[in-house]
Amino acid sequence: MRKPNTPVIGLEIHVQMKTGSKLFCACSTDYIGAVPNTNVCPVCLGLPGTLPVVNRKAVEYAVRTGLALGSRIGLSTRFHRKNYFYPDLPKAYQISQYDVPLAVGGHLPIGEEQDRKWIRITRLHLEEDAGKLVHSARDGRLGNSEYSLVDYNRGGVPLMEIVSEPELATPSEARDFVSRLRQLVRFLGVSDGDMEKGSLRVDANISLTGPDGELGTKVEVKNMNSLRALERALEYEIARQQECLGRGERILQETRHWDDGKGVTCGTRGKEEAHDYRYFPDPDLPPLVLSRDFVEEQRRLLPELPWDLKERFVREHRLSIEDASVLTELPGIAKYYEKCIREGANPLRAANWIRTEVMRVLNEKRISIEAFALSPEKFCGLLARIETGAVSTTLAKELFEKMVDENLSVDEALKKAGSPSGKVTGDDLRKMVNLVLERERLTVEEIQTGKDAKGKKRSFLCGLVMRESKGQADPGEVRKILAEILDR
Amino acid sequence: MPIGKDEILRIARLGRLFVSEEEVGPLQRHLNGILEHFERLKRLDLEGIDPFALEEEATGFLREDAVSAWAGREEVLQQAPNREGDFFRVPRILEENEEEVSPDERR
Repeated sequence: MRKPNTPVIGLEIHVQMKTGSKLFCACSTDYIGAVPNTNVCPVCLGLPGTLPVVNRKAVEYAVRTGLALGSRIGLSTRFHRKNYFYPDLPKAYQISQYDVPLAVGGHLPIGEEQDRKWIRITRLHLEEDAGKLVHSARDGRLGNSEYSLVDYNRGGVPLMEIVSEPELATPSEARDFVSRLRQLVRFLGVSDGDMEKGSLRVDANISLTGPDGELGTKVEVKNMNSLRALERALEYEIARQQECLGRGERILQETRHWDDGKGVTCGTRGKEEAHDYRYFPDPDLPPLVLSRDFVEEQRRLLPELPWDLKERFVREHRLSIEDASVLTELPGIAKYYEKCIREGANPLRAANWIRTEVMRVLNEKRISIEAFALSPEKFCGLLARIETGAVSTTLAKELFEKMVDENLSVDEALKKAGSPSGKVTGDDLRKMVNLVLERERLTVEEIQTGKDAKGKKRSFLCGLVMRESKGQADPGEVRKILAEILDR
Repeated sequence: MPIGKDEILRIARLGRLFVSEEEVGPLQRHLNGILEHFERLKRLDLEGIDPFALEEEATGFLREDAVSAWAGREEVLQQAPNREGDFFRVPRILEENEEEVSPDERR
């Protein structure tokens, strides 16, 4: 039983799948930046006499996603025509699935540990994307344009529509749900999940419960192009509906568009004639019949799911939930981290360095981890030197910069950092060593009384001198001077 | 339930078909005939019959995910009623539930 005046949110998410060709024809799906109307053919232009043929990979990807969500996969499903007139749809219908979707049920976890909530999935189905309209008005707004231009490159790109049960209670839960789903499709390798580019699009249904906790009239909100926009739009819409009800008005069942610049949702003015899509089974397509082997093959291809991986990182590597979340946000980062662990890196140090230094470089260069030149092996070479104290953190950061640019090993970077003799040398360096030893009298005493069997304290001092020299000394020379003084 | 005149006009509007006054009557009779036939089908006892019973394994109809370009796009663009460069040009669009915006509302 819900309390009165509680938001009830359900989401419909369209995910573009990363296939090479479209859902029903061999045209390329690579439409971003392409010359308009180049990835088109008689099938996706809806020319008479053409027949659609289903792309196997799109079915595989959708089945894989359904399995990851714990949905029941329908072995015999069908395609329907959803009829409506709009120039982005050359056939005047969209091929979609209606009464028998590819997958039914399932759930996606949101929140952490004790706050973990499993949001149920209603369904997942396959459908084709529409073309793109460019409006000719100077402000690009539909209502002000004289005419529109159509590009069908996107028309027919495979989509899966994933519908959640209305079980999300706050805008931040909705945001969490979308971000978990985005993470999932990236781990499954079925979509790039990029909201800005439109490869993951979210529509939200939202209502407020009435005085007795009963469901209120729902409003559909569209046009949110980022997680932040989704959260803001829902916050705005909840406040708007509460105000409306507070004034004793009724909520209109309608579709509202989020205007990110103004921070408001706008209704489409005028008559709200319910859409009548006149769904009927597409006679051009036979039922989609899948064998159990086909489904089991997809189950075998499932990777470790991101929420399981995150829990394992916390358990096995003693990471904080926050560290584990950052490291498992993208599959490439998680893989890089795991390679470092296999190379013997200290799990916490590796996590810290990837979170801060590696991710900073990725951001600055605007590249993904896959394009990151420094191999985990060489990266771990650096971490190992920090671990033993042979290299100070300050020096390590400088070396890291050099290593990243040319995929250098630590030694190569050290050579590059200055000639082996370094810039601080001779008497200057001796002065610096004495200065450090002055500050670390206790350590010196321990070393001299034989409490440094493993040489760790000596390495520690060496690291301090290196830091003092801002990496401009030669570690070999530092060790030599240290030995001269300490073993005197 | 027989289809009335309003239903005929609504279906025509959804399909963007122009239907004259004289055509409504014959269309109404025609469509009602089809519906009566389906009513007869509905009365058949189909208890226990799998709706997919006559359908065969269709996995053979899945296409491998291979890209190939089509060379005819220029021809199609040329035959479009209106083109602008690489685009198809279409009249200004208003959705069914949108109304014309008056000039002073346009800001």
